[in-house]
Amino acid sequence: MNARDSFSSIEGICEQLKQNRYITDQSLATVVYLSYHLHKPIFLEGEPGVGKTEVALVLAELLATRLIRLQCYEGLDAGSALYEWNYPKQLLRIKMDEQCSQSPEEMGQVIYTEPYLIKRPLLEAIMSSQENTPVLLIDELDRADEEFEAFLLEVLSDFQVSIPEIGTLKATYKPMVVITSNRTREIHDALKRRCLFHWIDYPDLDKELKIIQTRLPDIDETLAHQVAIFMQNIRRQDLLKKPGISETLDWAEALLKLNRNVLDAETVEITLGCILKYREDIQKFKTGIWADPDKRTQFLTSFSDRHAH
Amino acid sequence: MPTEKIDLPLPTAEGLVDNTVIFSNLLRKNGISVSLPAVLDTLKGLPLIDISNLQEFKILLQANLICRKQDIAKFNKLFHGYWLPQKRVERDIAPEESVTSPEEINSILSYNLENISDTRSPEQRKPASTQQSALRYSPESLIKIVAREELQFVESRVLYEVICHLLKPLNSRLSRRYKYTVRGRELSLRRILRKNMQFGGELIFLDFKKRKVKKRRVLFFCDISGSMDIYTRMILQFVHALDRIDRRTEIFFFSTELSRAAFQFGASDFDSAISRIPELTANWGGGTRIGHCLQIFNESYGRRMHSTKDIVIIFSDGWDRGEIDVLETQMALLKRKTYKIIWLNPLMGTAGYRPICQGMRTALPYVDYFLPMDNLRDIAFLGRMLVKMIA
Repeated sequence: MNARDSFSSIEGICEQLKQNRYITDQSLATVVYLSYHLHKPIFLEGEPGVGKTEVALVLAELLATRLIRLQCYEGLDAGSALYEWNYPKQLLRIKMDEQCSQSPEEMGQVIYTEPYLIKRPLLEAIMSSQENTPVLLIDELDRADEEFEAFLLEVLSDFQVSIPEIGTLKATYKPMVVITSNRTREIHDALKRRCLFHWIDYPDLDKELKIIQTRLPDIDETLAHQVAIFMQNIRRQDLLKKPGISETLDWAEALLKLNRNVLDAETVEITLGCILKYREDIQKFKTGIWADPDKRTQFLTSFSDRHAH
Repeated sequence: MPTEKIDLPLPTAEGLVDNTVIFSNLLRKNGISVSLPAVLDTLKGLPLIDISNLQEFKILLQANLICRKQDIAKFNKLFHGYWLPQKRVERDIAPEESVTSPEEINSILSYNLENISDTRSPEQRKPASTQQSALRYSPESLIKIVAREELQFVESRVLYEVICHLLKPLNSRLSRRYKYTVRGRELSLRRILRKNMQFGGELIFLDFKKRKVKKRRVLFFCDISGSMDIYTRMILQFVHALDRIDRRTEIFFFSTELSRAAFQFGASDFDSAISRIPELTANWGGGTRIGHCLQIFNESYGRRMHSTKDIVIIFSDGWDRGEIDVLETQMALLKRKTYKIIWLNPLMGTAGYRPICQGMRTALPYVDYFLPMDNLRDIAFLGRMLVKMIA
């Protein structure tokens, strides 16, 4: 089935996402489906490491199109998000043409043309969509400042940009936009309400297990179960930073590299750095949980043990 | 906010369209901000989904109408109350069983019933909605604040100026944005090229750029326990001015529990802002557990939005009834993630005051500036003091 055909139904999207190794529930698939048909950006929020950015990567793969990524940071401005003229190149051209005694008007016509234009992600999204719909990922929008948000509002509303020297450029097909935020600050409602909002939570046990098995097909079944149960347990603890699904995958991969088929107390201790990233958390875990034999067994159970009970 | 029935150009499913509009009004009534374009987009989405599938329908509404995580729980509750008839009946009979807070049920129920019974004539609806808002606010707290009105009241404009002055010495952070200057170290090629086009590209005038100075964000913690009661009006005015100066300001109230003022101070005039305060917290005038409240902050909001560039201002007399060691660890955590901590103490202005109460003594080592504040007129003086301390 063609990937674009699968966008005609929610089940199709769910299935396609799964085939592209992204395990999700119906709600995200519905949001993707609506975004595709209503031409509205998707606004994803959630704790770090739950797979927000991954959605855009998978969508680009699924639609067999380009992924254009705009990583936000403080001070990001139109110059680095939309377009900029290549000033050194322009200066060189001016110097080269000095002998030919061109008038300033003629010179202007030469140096303000497309070869001298540096296309930044947003302009790229507008211009490339003249052939097919690209996926535009605006990552960690909360890191950019509010001035940029206001600017983005303008671009996202009609995907049109005016460059004084060239004219107005408009996207023929609106790109599929995915915006992510870690909620380090609240994004203004004006922007949010133009988007389809979706909150990605930590996965439950079944989903986490499926994710591990899809992403790491070589993993032993018992180990996958143990890792999933361990992560579910550790997220219930009172920690400074709860590990996300990306930590789970890092950890499982590390365990594979260490050739472990079973999670035991010693392995957990030496690989703890994969899941806990704060000294206080590691200390708390070692003294509060790991020292207690009951809790330790609870953390290390696998599915088969649980079924036996 | 449009509460009347909107004439929609989408007559596909008469009943459903109407009900969706009513439901979005119900969300608005319950404090969720829903814009008209969002409602229109929801309606546009209706033909795209399988309406007989409740889950799909719910996601359509949620994705379009909700844009904050904290609203999701409320949405779920209202969705079930409105769209699932058997639940509606359940609530009619025994409201206590289905939802936790009785006030919430009342507000949901009153609005629901009102919509089901009448055929959406706005004139009929209005009196019921005023009744409902009376249910949502606790009149008791309001009286408390209004009673303080005779206390000092400084003109807003003056207040803004003095607060800006107060924070000026701390606002020294360099932004990553640039501004253009006549002198500087970095060349601004963009400007140079444009300026010199008139000379055929010969570079005659140079232009420079340098980093802008950016205001730091303020996190304000306000003690609203019983012992601080007499300062309430003053501090609310201070907080309101602070919020008007910089929209990024975060305001928290604490006594035994912590609550965050998210949108209450968004109103431009002080009186409408103050009328929205009672919906914030039920703990006005209770005891104080500073450590516990800071812990809530550090664990929830702090982890996400607190950055080392921020200034924390705590307004409290330091009378703490919580555990001291919690206060100590939480102050240490806060200190590590903050640029400067300013503690404003209203008692400090009184003659012969020493920070001897245990809470204050514990917190003091982590505080960068310990300043008096019992009077709004003193802020100008505070500003001068801060300048001296930093210099």
